[in-house]
Amino acid sequence: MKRITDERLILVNLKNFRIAYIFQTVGMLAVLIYIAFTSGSREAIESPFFLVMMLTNILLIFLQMRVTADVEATEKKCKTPVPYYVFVLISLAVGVLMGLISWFTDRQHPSFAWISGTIFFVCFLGSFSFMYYLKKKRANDDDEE
Amino acid sequence: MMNHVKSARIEAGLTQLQLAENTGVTRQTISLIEKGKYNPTLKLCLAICYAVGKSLDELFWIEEEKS
Repeated sequence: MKRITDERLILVNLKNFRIAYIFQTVGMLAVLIYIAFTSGSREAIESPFFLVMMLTNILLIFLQMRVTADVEATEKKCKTPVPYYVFVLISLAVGVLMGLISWFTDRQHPSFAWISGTIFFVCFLGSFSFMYYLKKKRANDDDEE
Repeated sequence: MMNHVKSARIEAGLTQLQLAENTGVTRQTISLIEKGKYNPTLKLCLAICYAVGKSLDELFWIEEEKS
């Protein structure tokens, strides 16, 4: 296949990818709903389709963070940036909350509570840190102008 | 965006296909630019300018809104 150099066709290609992505997502959702109705919701969650869809959405959210960081940097230029420790505290609060919920629902396995709390803490802190890094980078870029 | 690409191309003695080959795009893109149905990037605008031997302001402009 010949490499496309025409900028207009590159845009058309991207739009085609978007349509294909929407179609694929709708198809996967339909399959998951079908599995959920025929075999139960647990089967649907354990399906590889569910894992692929979740990972794709997480990837999309992470990629979208660059866009969000730019939009927020433009809209809230006058506002003072939120310090990093606030993000750590929020992540810690979420981790503790999810750990407690897990512990209250299943008191026989306290290790599950620790694991789920830690996973939530790490996931939230990771996302917040990435967002903080992007905002900080944007702020530094602005200073250099 | 308004443009004088068609007249400049004819003046330079180029066909749409030749201009497309010189600028690295397809003939359809040149056709759409001439009709004003596609806004090219600055990079392509400059490539067209170099190909027809005109300056950017001679070929492309946007009419300012009348307030």
